[in-house]
Amino acid sequence: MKTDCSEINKLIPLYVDDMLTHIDAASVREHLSECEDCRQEYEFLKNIIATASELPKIKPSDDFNERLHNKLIEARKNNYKTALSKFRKISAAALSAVAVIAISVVSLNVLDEKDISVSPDSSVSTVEPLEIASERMAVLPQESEAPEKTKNETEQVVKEEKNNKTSETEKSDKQDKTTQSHVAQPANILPIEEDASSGSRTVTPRVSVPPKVKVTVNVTVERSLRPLIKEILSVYPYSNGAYSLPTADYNNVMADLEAFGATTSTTREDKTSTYAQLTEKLMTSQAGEKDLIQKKLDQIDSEISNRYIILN
Amino acid sequence: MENEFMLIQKASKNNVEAFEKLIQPYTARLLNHAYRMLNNREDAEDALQEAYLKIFTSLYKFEGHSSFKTWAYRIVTNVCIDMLRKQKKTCETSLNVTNEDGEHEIVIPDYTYSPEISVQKKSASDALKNALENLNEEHKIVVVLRDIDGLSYDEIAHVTSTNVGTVKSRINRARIQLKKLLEKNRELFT
Repeated sequence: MKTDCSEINKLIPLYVDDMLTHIDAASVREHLSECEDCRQEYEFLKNIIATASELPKIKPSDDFNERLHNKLIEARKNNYKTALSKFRKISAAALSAVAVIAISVVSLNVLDEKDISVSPDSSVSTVEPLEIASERMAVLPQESEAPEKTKNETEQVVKEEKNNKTSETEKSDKQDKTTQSHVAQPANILPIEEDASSGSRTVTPRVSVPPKVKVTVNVTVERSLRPLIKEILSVYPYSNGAYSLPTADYNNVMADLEAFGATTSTTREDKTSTYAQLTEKLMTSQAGEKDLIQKKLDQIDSEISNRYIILN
Repeated sequence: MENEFMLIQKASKNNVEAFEKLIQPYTARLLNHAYRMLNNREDAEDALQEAYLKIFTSLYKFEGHSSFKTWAYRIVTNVCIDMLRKQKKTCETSLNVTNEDGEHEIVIPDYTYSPEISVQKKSASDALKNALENLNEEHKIVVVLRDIDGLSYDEIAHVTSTNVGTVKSRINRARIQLKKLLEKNRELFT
């Protein structure tokens, strides 16, 4: 029985892609061998499809990647802010106080460079996406029945000045007592170790010449946010209680941390007496000489290839 | 060299550099997909960037049930559809006319029979591009995905959140419609 051409024409679109059953495909094949009209319909469709596959392709414009990069950076900051907002809500409900836990010394911290979340005080055992981390925070047991605290009351600011230590002591009944060395002088920090497992963002500082200045930044953040801050810092080498950031990344990372509500205090450790002497001289020198001295100070600062971040 | 899975893991934790490495092999294809959907380079780049931002902020939700490729195609396609619908609304609004009874009518231009289009049909590819613009949304998506992007029926099913049977049906009807639209230019396809 000869197959109707209208029926065959309905099957040709899928026959072209070999998406018919064996029986239907055989029917079409047989019909096409006998019917010139249907064969022309088949060729017509095949040529349409071939033309479609050969339509000219476009390339991204020259600034496409740059524009996208800028948008991604902005999106990343917004992600942190969103997570911060979520955590604040969760913290207010589940936690009554902020505990500041120092992890600045090896004896208190069991973190290694690969798994930054292995911490005796962390309630999060693995590094997690922001969303899942926030959900975990929601089921943390309440530590006390103290009333809700505002950001200023709950955040612990680590300062070098002795007058602030008193106020911190007053708050200590609400904090983790392991806080120490908050005016941290990481004098024992070894030269930066390259962390191959951190992926392409691990940077090796330029340490062909030992730095003349060591800048250390103590970062303090709400306890519930520490896992997120660790995620931000996890791409950098970690050694002896501190993350090592290249200066080029420093400003962006600090902006990210501050968007997350972190507070920082910075200490300088000058390897030579030059900076201190110049600073002292700057105060007593005349206008013209001041400019020269300031230029010299700026030059010393520009030679700082890395900054060390200690998460308190 | 990091594989795609590792890049997804890193990028899902807000790592911009990992994300840029992840999407790099797909950008050309996805851009051309958006271009064929929207028929405009600037719109295509905007759509792709918007889609990438959506992917970046929701990457942690990607569970791996489909491939990253089909997931990305789905998001780009949806962004393109949204843009087309917004453009259509704008077009319809600006084409509103009031008839003699005071009622509003929406005039939808039929570009197929426009004299300007007839003059411009110099080649099979021009004729095809015009025909694509006259397919409905559902048909256009499957023709672009199958005949231009080269995705398999399985992949198209994932992109359109349907099944292979539905994809077959849509491709079948889309190609029949495409043949009708190109009938008067048949000689260009011999």
